Amino acid sequence: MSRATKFKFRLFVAGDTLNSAQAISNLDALCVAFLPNRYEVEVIDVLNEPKRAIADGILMTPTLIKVSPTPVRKFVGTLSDAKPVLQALGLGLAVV
Amino acid sequence: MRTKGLTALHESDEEVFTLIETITSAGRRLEEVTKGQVDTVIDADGRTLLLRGTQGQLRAAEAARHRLILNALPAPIALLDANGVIVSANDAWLKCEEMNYVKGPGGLVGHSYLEICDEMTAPDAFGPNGVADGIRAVLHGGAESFSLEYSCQRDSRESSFLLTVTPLTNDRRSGAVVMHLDITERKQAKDDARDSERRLVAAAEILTRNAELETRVTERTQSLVEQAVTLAQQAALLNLAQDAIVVCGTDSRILFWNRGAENMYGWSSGYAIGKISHALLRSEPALPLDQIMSRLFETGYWEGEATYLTRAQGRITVGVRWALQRDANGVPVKILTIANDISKHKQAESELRALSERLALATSVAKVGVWDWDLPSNSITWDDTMFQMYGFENILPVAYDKWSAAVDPRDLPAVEATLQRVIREKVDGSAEFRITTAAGSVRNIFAVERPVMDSTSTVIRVIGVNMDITDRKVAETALQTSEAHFTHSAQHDFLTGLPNRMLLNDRVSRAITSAPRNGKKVALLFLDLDGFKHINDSLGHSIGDRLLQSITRRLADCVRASDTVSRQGGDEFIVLLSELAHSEDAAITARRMLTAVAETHSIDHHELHVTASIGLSIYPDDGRDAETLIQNADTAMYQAKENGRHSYQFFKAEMNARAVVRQSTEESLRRALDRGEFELHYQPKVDLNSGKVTGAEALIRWQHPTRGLLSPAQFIPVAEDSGLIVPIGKWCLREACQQARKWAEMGFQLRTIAVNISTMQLRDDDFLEDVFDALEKTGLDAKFLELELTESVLMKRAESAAEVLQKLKAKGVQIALDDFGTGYSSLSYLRKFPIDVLKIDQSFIRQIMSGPDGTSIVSAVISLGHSLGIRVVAEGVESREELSFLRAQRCDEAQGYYFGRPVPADQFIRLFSSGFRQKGDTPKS
Repeated sequence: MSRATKFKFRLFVAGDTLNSAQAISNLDALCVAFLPNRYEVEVIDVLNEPKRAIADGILMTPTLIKVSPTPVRKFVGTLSDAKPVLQALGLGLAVV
Repeated sequence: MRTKGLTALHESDEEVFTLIETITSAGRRLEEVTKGQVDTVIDADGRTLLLRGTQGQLRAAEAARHRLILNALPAPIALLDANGVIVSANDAWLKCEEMNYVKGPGGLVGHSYLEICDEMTAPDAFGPNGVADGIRAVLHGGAESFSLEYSCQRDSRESSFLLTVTPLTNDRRSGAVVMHLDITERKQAKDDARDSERRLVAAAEILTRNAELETRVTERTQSLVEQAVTLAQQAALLNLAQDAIVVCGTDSRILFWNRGAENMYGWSSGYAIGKISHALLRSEPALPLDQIMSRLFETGYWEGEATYLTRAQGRITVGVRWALQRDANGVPVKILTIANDISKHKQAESELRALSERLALATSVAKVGVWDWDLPSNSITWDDTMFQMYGFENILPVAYDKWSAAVDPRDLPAVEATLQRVIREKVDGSAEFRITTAAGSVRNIFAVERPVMDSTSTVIRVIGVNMDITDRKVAETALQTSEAHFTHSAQHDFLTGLPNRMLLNDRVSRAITSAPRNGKKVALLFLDLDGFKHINDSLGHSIGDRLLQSITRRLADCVRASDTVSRQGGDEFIVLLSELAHSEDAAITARRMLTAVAETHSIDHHELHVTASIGLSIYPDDGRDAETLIQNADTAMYQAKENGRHSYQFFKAEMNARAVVRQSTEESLRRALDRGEFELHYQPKVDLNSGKVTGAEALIRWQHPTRGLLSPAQFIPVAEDSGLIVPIGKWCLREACQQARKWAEMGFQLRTIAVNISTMQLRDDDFLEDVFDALEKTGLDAKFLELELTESVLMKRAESAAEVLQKLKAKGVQIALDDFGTGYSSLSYLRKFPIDVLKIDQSFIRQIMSGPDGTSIVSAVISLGHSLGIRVVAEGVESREELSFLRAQRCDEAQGYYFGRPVPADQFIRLFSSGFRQKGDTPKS
């Protein structure tokens, strides 16, 4: 994977609920730290756009989807434990 | 009912309790599983269910946010319950001790605002209880709202306030919101109000320019945007308005049915959509749907011809192309069926363009932001949409530099130039540019600007709108791609991808323009496969199509890149060889192609062998334009086929000579009737018992203006090919009847006047009517008319011919079977048809003198005729010996040179009216 590979995320949240807010800030921190200038985040509020949740097969909020690069991956929760997320993103080595 | 319902509820208490338990424990378990990191779950319908903890959280957050908003507002606001008691108030309210109307102890929460107002003395004309009564009216549902403007001293200056009381909800009076709004400044700034009004009007004007959109945009824009790209890609296929285009799902249900299909097949789109396509639109003969489908799924398309039954029970035969659409993953999703007409492509193209414009407009109006730039203060105001568009934080005023930094540096100079022009020249301006939003995404913006002038015509501000047209751009790009594709498909053959006739003509024209300059020649090779139809019929179109593709590849391998191989449809190809030094080079290519085509084609486990015939024409020798060259190559190809196939043939001028003669004959034939160039000659028939002339056969002659008198053999075949035989035959009938009638009036009554009838005449719907008409108009009795038909005429449509002959017979018309013995001589004809006369062909008469074999046939025919009660006439009698034999055999009548050649009517009378020629007389020659 080249350094320039751009990461596209979709984060499904429910309004201003606590876990959702945490997920947003955790994802922000994670991207700034590990994917500077090569990420794109779309935050979707399922209370406003329930159809998008169905379309992406979202069962719970917050859920993060890595849209690209493939393979598409899903993470449920606040993302407060960064390690498994990074590993799943293929950025495991960067942490070590 | 009500009691019963309650009882039922009571009885289900236990069940409800269990359900609640289940929900609670399920919720608890869910939180355990998700480690409390999840705040909602979403069901299959997209309903979001808040988890227990989250609900409280959300409510608290909501309340906090509301308080925040309320406290941020400078106006004093209080919430009253249904009784007028203050249940909450914002910071501004609580601080507002000095304001007359809200003066009172402490925070006032918990006190009745009505009582406070009752106790106060209103300072103005509204009366002592004005305010309290107004609030009561709202609380009790008597008024929608209440408002009151009042003035008071605040910070030792005169201030104006607007008191508004608004109910909390419209349907149930559960309280009201009371607000005191400081309108001191607003009253002083009436200009501002007018400005903002003007700004809105300008924005509205810009929007309403797209009048068509105005009403339907809001609801439909979203779905339009989504559909735009797909539509644009398909538009080329879907909107060839004259063609019938039907799109089906893989389950054969009709999804799309264009206007062309409505016109062609008769069913409206509303009726057709949702129906099973082959159930609605039946083909007769039935299309091999299984084959077509397997072919579609294999190669993605099928091409052929179909006859469909229309709604009006009519039949329509169309060329059909089927194409299979797959999604990005290659899964078949749709089947397109197009019944096409190439000539209508131009019109379709313009419709496509119109569609693209509509789409573009619709997609562009999704979001419109409004801005206002005050020039004296250099402050810029944006509306919310603008902030959303740029992703900026909602802070006013917006700095010009902040905006310009967002604009793509490549576009900025042009945009700024436009703005300058708007200010300088006081005109509307518009610009398109790219921006990078705060989130980092690039959007395309379309902007319109308008100058606002003061009374001295100085531009004091510029107002404008921004529209996000990124989606439109995407659609436009997709459209351009599909337009390019469309142009390609209009010029190329669907099956092989080769250029079609249109493109070929274009290339031929170009080749013959440039050839003379270099002293080069151009060759056209017309290639037709031998026996391709047989392969198609026996192995099916699928194999046939793939054979054509295989041949396409091989032909392409035989030519240079600068040459053009095109397909004309069917199994015909035309190859253009440009810049040839010698005609012989074309022959080399032709030989190479014959060899390449003849090699084995392996298709679907079939080893196929096919040969081709090629005709060549050379520019400038054989023609100077594409049409002539192609036509001559075609003629040469037919010659090659006649020469035994699997060969090539250069065009030669004499190949056309025969065709040219034929053509000119046809043209002058058309005129001949009008000009009265035809005449009838009559040949006598002699009764062999009496030796008298008892009948005549009318024979047509053409007095050609330049070629002289022509016999039937010289023009009847052309007349038959062109269909002119029908009017000519009609003329003959009329003329002959008239002549016979005339002779009868002169006292020269023939037994019959015989007229020859051709196949085509007999088939003509009006034939019977023509015969009867001729008889009626001339007043000739039907029994004097004898129609001569050959066996072949009767054979071709025996059933209907029998019917026609029966009707003639019923009228009394005599029927003669001409040239008997030359055809099938089936005895069954003699029984099936009402034959009165049998004419023995002259070739049998010739054989009379050759011995017993020759005479036996004639004897047999005569006795056959007699046994059936049919008169027998010998044709072409030329000698006394022949005559003697026929008389001995008791043949009834005879005609031939021995008695007399065919002569014009006046001569006929002169020669034969005196009675008859004696049988022993010297024959006329």
